[in-house]
Amino acid sequence: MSDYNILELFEELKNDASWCEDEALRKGSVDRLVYFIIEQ
Amino acid sequence: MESKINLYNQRLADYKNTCNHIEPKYVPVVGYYLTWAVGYAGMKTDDLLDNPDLIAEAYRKVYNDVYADLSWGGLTTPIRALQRLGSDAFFISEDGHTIQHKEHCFMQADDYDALLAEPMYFLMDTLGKRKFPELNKSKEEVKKALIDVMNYVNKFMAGNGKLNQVLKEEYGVPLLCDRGKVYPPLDVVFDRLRGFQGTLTDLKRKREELKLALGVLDKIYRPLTYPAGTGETYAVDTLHCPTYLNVKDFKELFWPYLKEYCMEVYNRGSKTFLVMEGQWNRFYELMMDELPKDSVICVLDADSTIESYKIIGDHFPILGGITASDIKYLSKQQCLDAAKKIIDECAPGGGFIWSVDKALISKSDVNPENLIALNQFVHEYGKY
Repeated sequence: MSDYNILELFEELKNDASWCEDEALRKGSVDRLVYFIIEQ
Repeated sequence: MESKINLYNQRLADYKNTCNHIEPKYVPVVGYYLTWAVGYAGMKTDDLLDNPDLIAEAYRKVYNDVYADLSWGGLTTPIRALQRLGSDAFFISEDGHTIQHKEHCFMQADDYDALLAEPMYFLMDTLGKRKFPELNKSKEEVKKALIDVMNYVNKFMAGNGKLNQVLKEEYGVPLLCDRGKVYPPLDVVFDRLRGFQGTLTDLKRKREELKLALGVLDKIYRPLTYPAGTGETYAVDTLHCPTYLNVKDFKELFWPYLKEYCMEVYNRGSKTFLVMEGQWNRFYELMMDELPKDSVICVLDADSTIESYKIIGDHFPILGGITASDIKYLSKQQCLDAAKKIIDECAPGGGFIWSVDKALISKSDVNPENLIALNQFVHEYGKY
């Protein structure tokens, strides 16, 4: 079983600069990923 | 490059004029090429997916050889990102370029309560884990997978962005649509959640739950219309399930959202491209009664271009032409004769854009010699 809640993980990714320092790109990427997960 | 930018601006002006029923200088000709362009260039889609920088390279050949004033752009699905999450929903055909997909809908009929109770949790967590095996691993593994997906999607978008830049600067070709997406909730259910059989069954057996679900999805999908009007061209909606609906169901469950979203886009100073898959002529009267003139552009599929023009052509711009199978099987002269008849009927007064009826995906979809002759002929004969 997975040990996380995906919505919390998305918030974490939005605020975690370690994988992308550019804040606008990082937040835009996570926002796009939401629709990607729903639509694919 | 300056002459190409001038050409770009002229084409953009023609495009916008005809979408407002003002006669342009030429009937705009659309390049409706998806992976067909990859096969035409003798390349493999896998290579483009591995290195999205190659997308622009692959599409150069078709824009070198085949006349076009406007483009739908390049590849649409970042398949490698799906594969990173363990999905095999999309795959490449044996021809090496055509992208195909399986139905990928994992919501069950008894899931409506869960969707209505916590929509985002259900869509993202519950369904996400059903669809994507990689999301069932440990948090650290999932986090790494999601970062890989985002990095890949950004690279894929940059590859398509490079193509758009090449189209503008080297070919003077604008995109048909750039900002704003219209996605009515019933199509979200049909495409993403319940699939063809599930949705049509729910219309009869779960109608009340389905109606509530549409309200929930509306809150998630309406914001995608907001960027409309911030780019150079228009918003887009590819409509899938209406062709399977009767007028009553369409009017009650599909149309209210589609109309509101199109009006949202219109009120932001833009228009919506409605890619009307299948047959739509039974909905024309409702559309004309309830949407302002020139608020949407109707992209015809199975509906006859000339017959549709006679009904809606004064109210909505249309995008139509002959079929891909005609371009494949008719002689060159037969193609040109058919095009001449359509232009004679539909072009006067503006409001007409030339296109093949479906996106070209496989190398065998059309006879390239006919397509080259046809697009050149439409451009020359379509001079006002």
